[in-house]
Amino acid sequence: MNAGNGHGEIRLVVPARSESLTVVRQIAAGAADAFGLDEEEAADLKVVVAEASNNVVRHAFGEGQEAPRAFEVEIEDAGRSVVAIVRDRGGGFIPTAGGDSLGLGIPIMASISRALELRSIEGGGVELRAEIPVSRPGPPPDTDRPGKREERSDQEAAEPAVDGTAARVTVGSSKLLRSVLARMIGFAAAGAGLTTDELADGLMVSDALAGAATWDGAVEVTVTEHDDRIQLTLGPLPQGAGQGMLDALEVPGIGSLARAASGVSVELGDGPGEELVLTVTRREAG
Amino acid sequence: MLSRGIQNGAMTDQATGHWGAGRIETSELDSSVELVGLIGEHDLSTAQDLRRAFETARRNGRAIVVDLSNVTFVDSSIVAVLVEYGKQDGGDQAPAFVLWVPPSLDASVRRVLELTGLPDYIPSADTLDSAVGQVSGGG
Repeated sequence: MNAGNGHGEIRLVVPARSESLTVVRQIAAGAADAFGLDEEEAADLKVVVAEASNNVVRHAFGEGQEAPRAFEVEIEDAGRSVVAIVRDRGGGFIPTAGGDSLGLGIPIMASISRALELRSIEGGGVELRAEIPVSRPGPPPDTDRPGKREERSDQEAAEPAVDGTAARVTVGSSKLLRSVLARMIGFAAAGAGLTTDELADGLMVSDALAGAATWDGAVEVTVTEHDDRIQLTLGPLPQGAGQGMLDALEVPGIGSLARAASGVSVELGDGPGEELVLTVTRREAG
Repeated sequence: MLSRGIQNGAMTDQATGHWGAGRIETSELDSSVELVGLIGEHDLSTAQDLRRAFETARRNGRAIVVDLSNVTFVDSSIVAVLVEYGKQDGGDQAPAFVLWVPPSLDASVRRVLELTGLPDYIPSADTLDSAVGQVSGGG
């Protein structure tokens, strides 16, 4: 019933615009990898999260907003199920038949989910919570104990994203970072127009970085779009962790993987806290 | 036999491409049949491009075969467009809109099609030849 202790959780904040839907699906796919779901379960999770997000983008904030508002997606490993929560702070919506999607989204989500709840958030907005059943070998992970979920008040719900921020992902445990970072490199590479070879290099770098993320605790990754590049910023990191991750890129006799990779560069950030910045430089269009 | 000269024409150029969103490729199979292929992931952000591709084919008087062999995701916005164009068919004539749903269809796409019952009310075929046969009235 409860949604766990937060370690097995991946949380994402994105602008409520249709371009964000790809990012949301990538993170859902990354979560499915990280939680060890099989192909069908992964497809179910992706479909549910996509339909819920589609509803937010289409209904939550109405037409004519100057800057897109943000919404929030949480995906949590709860042992026998994966819980997906999609939350907006918009005006609420009433799913009806008709319109562009024929009201198909809710029935699709309801068919897949073991339980589906929609509730209004006090002060405006809607929270959709879906439990997607999963079956897997071995004991369920250690996330099935009474959670601190109630402490997360509605006040903490999504705030408008900062200009230029395409997505902010919080990974509940550094162990989940590998799958999620790989997906984020994937969509940054797609957005920047990298070749598949450059993407492969980037994935090698992100794997090595994630392998060195061994501290206990959450990791935040922020994606920002610029005219000439897309950046993934990891941080704030524990003291020394950024340098530790950079060191993990050093291969004896070869040097830094980041220097060898053509698509992605890595450096310590110059922000106040310790952070690591992955830069994917945009290729000239056609 | 069927030449599939994929043209990276106007439709493809219009596709958003943002963050790896899907593309739409159209090609003329013969003077009466247009193949509209969905490539990659499709959702609200490409639904309008898909509608435009169908409109163009219709305006040119062509039957439409929708190629789902390279699609890796569709959401309910895309299903709604397929329904909009697929179910305007009717009567005794050969259908003017057929889905090519290959056995290798992506798992998430298959799931969405099953849950929405789409193949029940839009003609579909599991091979390209069979899909083209249907729109050409050859069964």
